[in-house]
Amino acid sequence: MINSNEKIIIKILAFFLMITVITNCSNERSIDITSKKNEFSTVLGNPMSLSDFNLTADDGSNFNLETLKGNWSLLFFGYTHCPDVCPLTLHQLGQANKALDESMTELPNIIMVSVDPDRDSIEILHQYVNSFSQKVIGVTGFLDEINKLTSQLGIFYKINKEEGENYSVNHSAAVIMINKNAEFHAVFSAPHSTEHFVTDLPKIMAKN
Amino acid sequence: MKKILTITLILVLMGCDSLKTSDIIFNDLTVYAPRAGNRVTAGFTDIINNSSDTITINSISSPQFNIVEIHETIMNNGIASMIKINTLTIPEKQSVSLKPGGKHLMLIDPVKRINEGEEITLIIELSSNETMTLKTTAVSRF
Repeated sequence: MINSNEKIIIKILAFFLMITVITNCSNERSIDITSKKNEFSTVLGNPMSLSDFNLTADDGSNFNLETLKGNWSLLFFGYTHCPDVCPLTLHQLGQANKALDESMTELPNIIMVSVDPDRDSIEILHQYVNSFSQKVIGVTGFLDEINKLTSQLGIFYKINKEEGENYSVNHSAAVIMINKNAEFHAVFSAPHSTEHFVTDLPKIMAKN
Repeated sequence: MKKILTITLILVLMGCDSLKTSDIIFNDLTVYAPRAGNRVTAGFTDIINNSSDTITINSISSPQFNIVEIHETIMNNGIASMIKINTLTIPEKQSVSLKPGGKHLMLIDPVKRINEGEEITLIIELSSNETMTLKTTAVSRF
């Protein structure tokens, strides 16, 4: 359950995300900040540039802003001890890519960013994402580096260490779409279904 | 997608004078084998209370897991969170579903690696001091 403090944090994050978008718009180019609603996703009026971060992929390689360039990516933030929302979302994303495989010339990378690095070592994350598909990329790192990414994307998380060893993590369930220029391009809000991704991904990627 | 599982359900009521096997039914009990590298997994079922009394589940245990709890996933403003439910009450002539995105069994810390097809036993402790034993087999999720 989200308490009042968390609600305040979410509002602050949303506020800063809005400010970031507006600031980017006013400083860099003339941008229509009006987002466009697809059936199941929201595309930013203009993609938002991101600052660099330094994380590690489940194969041990560096994962940063440069890594995101050249491919479309779908980012989901969760943790391997999540029994419900995280595996379901990864499954839905994988099913969507499978359904779109024949009709699309390229598919977005599916990337799970673990916001629970204390429990999700690279080795554990590697086993976990590979249990879905070898095409799914697991990413994690130091919390301050994770925060560099989440704060730019309006992603909230809270590690409930006070619950003891088997603590839960509250986290945004949104799927963030990053374009080939490593810019924040669109967001799919929860609850998700495979159909949502199958319907909107081709529309978003075809226009860019 | 929810899997419909044909389960082997062995219901044992111990020290039970009042509760009959038909009074409480666990339909479509599904327990997933933990994913590789994972110490937790989920279980789902529909619990039907056919009796004329409220039934309360006080605790659940399993020889295959060190901890079994009932949790509930809550989605609020796009934030997924999970709370522990200490006791689960099923009102008379009603049912409670443990299902994806809602209440679910949280099976934590398997005593050994559990593969698909292995037997899982759940011991249900009711507030009436009655105990039920359910058996099913682990299935892979997705």
